[in-house]
Amino acid sequence: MNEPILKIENLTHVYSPNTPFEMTALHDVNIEIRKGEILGIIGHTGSGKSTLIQHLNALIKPTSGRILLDGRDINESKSSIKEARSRVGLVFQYPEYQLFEETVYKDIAFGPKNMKLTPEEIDGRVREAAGFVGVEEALLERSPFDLSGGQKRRVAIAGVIAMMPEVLVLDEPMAGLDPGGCEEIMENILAYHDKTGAAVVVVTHSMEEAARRADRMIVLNHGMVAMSGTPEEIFTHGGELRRMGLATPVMTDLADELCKLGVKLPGTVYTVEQMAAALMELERGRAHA
Amino acid sequence: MDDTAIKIENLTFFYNSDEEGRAPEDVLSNVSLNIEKGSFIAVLGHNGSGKSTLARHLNALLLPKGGAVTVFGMDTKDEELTLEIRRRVGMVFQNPDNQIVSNVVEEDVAFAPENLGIPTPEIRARVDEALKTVGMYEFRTHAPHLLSGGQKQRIAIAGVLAMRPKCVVFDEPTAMLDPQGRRDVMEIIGRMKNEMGSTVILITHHMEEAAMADTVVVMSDGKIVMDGAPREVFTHVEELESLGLTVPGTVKLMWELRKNGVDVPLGALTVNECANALAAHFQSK
Repeated sequence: MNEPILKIENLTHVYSPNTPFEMTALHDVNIEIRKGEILGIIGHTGSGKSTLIQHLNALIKPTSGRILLDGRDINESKSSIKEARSRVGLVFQYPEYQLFEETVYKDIAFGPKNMKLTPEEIDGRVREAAGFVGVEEALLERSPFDLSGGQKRRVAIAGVIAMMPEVLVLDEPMAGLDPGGCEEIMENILAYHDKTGAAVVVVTHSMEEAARRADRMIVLNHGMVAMSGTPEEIFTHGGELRRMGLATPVMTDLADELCKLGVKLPGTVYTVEQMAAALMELERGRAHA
Repeated sequence: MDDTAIKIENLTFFYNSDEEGRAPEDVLSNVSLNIEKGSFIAVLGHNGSGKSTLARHLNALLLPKGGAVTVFGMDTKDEELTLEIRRRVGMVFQNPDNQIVSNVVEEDVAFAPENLGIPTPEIRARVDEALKTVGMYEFRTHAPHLLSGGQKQRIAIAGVLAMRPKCVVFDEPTAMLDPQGRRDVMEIIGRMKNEMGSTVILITHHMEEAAMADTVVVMSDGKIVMDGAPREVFTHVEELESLGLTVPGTVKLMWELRKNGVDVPLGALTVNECANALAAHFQSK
């Protein structure tokens, strides 16, 4: 098991404290994000997911508790905040709405420029980041506003990747994209992960995606960590997940249904590939019977 | 009696050319579709395929550049009929935050009927009924911005229902919602069709949602490329994947099994249907 790069310790966040609108968004949250892992975060809307990830690079400050990056409190000083912003990259929901430059190139270059890199380094970063997300060279001089929705999203992600963060955090990166577009974005993110060994944190409402890609999952419920574990461990708690406004992957539901009908499958199944493999095993057993 | 709710004939549309004067490309070209009263149609297509542009023609938010759209017998190009058309066809969009106008739930729901000039007691009755339909009646005095995304979307739907439209167009209404929010919206759509006899047009990227419709229409590059019952359309697994789409997980599973020589039926649109078909196969001697 890898050592943690980010540690969230006893994090509590209260919005509008001491007013009639006081709301505790996170309550005593403890999470470790390990080097190189893919961590899925799921939870109902309003469970505190977005509040949580905005703490990871000091965009908002804890009411109490600490965020440790390599053991150092990121809110300790101006320089620690700055360090966190370049080492932890945050991609918001619908990041394409934040594109603003005249050209795709300038938009991707915005982050690395703020890191005070040399023009050559910046150029290298832009081209590499564009490569990760499949934005072709020819598009770099175009206006980002001429691109399709899926392309814009990839440019926005490239803008964060260009800072080469060691932790890449994405809030609903696939929302509103067609299935082909979802697949591409996920492949882009995985390419960055595989090539750089960065940890990836994905907030998602898609149980299918979480199941397929995550090494580990965290379930948030009303501002608290309700479960954490491998997808296999998490999805054995179907009833609890549904009570929290979530769901289990369709294939897990199918396995439960098959079990009721007397067809038993070994272990927990949560992807189409696993289900097909398990059923092929049964089929081979029948052929020999 | 005419059973047609919306008739789309050779609809062509393009957005006006940009500042640099580049020639506009057709976003919709020669689209024809007949939507029957009381039917539930799902529209699928990759991003940029023209789905939302099509949807915006159904209540005269956009007007055809070629061809015609006739809504309950009214040509959308006739500006005198625009209000009548919008009274009959309501729209629900993706982002609930962009659809909420008031800071009290029941006032928000009353906004549209108020604009229609409906008498106050009648509005009261409509608002209560709409809030009950979406299961948000007990939240009627709450502030919408403090509700969850799914709850806000239900308020937005109630606002449309309070106009008592004959037809509602949903443009990716679940894209920003969690699984519970999605289940709630789909349940409301089911009730609108079955209990209220509404015509429903649902634009979605979720194949499981499309599987619940009577008819699935698939768009690609501004054209309708498939049109049929979900059971039929979802048998075209490879074709849909080549269009940037997919099929429900249960259909994909059956397709994988059949590819490997297991004799199971392809058309399994729900978990129950799929489980029953698999159990029948694996328990047969």
